[in-house]
Parts: sequence; C-alpha cells; structure tokens
Amino acid sequence: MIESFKVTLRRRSILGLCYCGLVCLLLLLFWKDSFMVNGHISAYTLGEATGIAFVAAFYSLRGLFALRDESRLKKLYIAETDERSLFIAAKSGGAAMTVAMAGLALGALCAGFFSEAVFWALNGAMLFLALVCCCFKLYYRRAV
Amino acid sequence: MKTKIPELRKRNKLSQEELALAVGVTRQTISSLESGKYTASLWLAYKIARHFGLRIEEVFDFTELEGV
Repeated sequence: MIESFKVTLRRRSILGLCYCGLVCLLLLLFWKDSFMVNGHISAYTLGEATGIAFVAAFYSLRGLFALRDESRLKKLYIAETDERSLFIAAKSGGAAMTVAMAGLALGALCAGFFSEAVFWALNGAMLFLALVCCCFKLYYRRAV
Repeated sequence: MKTKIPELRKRNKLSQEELALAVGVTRQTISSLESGKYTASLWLAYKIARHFGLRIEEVFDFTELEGV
C-alpha cells in the first residue's frame, strides 16, 4: 500500500514542480505584456496561477521531503487515507466540487481571450464554489 | 456511539496520538470516536479492537442501535 503511495506522491510532486516551472516561464514571458482581452484579466490570471503555483510548490516539496523520511511518509500516508478526513471530503463535495472548479477555471481561462464579462462570471462562480466547499469542510470538521 | 476507547487507552497507558499511529488514522479521528461524534467503519473498529486484544463488541457499545 505504502509503496503505491510513494509512486503516487513522487508523480504528484513532479507534476506540481512542472506546473511551477510553467508558471515561472509565463511570468517571464508576459510580465508586462497583456496576452488576454485586456491587461486586468492578464494580470488576474497570472496572479491566480502564481498563487496556485505557491500552493503546488509547498505540497510538492512536502511530498519530496516525505519521500526521504519514513516517519514523515507514514504520517502523510495516514493523513491522506484517514477515514474521517475522507468522510468529511465526501460530505463537502469532494471530487465533484474539485472537477467543477477546475472546469470553471479552464472555462474562465479560455473566456479571457475573447470576453471580459464571461471571464469574470466564470471566475465568480468558481470562487463561490470554493467558498461553499470551504464552509462545508469547516462545518463537518466541527460536527464530525 | 459510545466506546470504551478512553478507558482502554488509560489502562494501556496510550495517548490518542500513539493509538492513532498504531491503527493508521489521525489523532482527530480517535478524539471524534471517543466523543461519540464519529462512528468508526467496520475495518477501523476491527483494528482498534485487535490492538487491545478484544472483540469489537467489547470496545464499541451497540446497545443504542439495537432497537433500530
């Protein structure tokens, strides 16, 4: 079990670091230029991508450090497979919410190239979903 | 659901963290089980009972559910 978790963790960490590299490249290329429908949307998209990159870097580095230390790896494995945490994740929307938010983010990214109104509408919907998801998580963490 | 986990832990001089690590869950899960907020899965109940060398019904109190 823990061996397959190691493989998943390594793959996840590498993907996270690749994403960070891609965001760094985008930042270097479009630091001052607007590549979307207007400058505000470009800046917002780059800011959002950078924020996600910081989170991805944190989790990737945590994963890579855990791969070198058995006790950290066991704690991480327990945290990820803990049945109460999985129950809370399922109750608060879990995978469905994540897929919906990823879809909205991708839609907003595409919309950013042709319509400002659609971009903000999709981003607003995504942020609202994220807020609902967080509220459910906080509620179930207290209730369960 | 009521459990005898706190008494069993005290008898065996185990902290919540140590029991959690032994049965592969987080300390918060053990805390929720002890306070009756969360009901363990069959697999977790079995692992906890086995850790103390007891049967599931000796650790977890099913009397509340018997009328259902």
